[in-house]
Amino acid sequence: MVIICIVLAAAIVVYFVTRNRDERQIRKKLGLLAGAVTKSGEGVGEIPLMGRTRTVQSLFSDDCVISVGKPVPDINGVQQLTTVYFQAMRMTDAIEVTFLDVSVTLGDDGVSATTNMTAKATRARDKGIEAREIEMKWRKIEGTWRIHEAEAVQTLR
Amino acid sequence: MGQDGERTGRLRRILVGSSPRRTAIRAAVLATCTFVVFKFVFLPVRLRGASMEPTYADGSVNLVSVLRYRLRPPRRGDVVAIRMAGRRVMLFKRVVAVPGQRVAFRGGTLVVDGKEVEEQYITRPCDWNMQEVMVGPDELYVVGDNRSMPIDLHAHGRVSRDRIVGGPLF
Repeated sequence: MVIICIVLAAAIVVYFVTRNRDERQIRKKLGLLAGAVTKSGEGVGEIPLMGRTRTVQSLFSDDCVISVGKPVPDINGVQQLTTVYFQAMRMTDAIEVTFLDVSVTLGDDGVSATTNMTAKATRARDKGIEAREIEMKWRKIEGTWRIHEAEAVQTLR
Repeated sequence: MGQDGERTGRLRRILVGSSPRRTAIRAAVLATCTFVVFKFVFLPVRLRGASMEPTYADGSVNLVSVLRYRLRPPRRGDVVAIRMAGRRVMLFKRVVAVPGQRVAFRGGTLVVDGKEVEEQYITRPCDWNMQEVMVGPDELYVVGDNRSMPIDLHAHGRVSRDRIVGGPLF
């Protein structure tokens, strides 16, 4: 009886751990993305910027499509994304980006997912806030979740 | 030693009362009530930005009453809190038109169903012009009170009714 209970408990633990693994991975990647687009007052040096660029590259699929509205231009493909990111990090003022109210919906196929969130950017200079609702479509490519599409949701139309 | 013991006992009575168990229960009930009220009934918010000035100043603190529109739909003139992906970031806007109405701006004046609307809460000059827009079913047309800023820089438009979280308490 005791053994059956232990096996059952272990099975439940394994079920919950494996069930949420994909969601945890996606949330962790969103944290990495928020960190990569946040810029402190001291700026980002060339070498750390290279590292951040590699991080950003690793988060998106090669054929990603990004359309989150101004000031970010529409982006097609990870190469264009890298160029835009590199330029933006050199030119923009200090900014802190956070993703709030994140919801993750995993697809039945096991290789697709959708996330909905509010992206909040706070300018360090005047503490001004820009917030936008964003929907991201994810694809699991070779066992790794990558952002395939990112699109702004129109709260007011 | 006796005085020390008396002082400790008095301090203990002040902190945990004569019955520590009852005090613990009261504290737990108070904490639960506070959590429920500020999580589900009145959401504390800090307003950022100038779009609702002068009615609500940048940096002011308020509470969003979640139950306000449970019994009745928002009416024209109401200020509503609009959720984005969730409730952590919300927009504060004023309802200027309800489902089925047509809304436009002509020379800074709000026009609803072809009639000019006098808005007491607008105190700053406005020169907005906007083509007529039809408000669909389950939608509201919302605008901020600060119309001195250019129309392109001011977030306004139709919003789905299900995005309305509530209204400000003050």
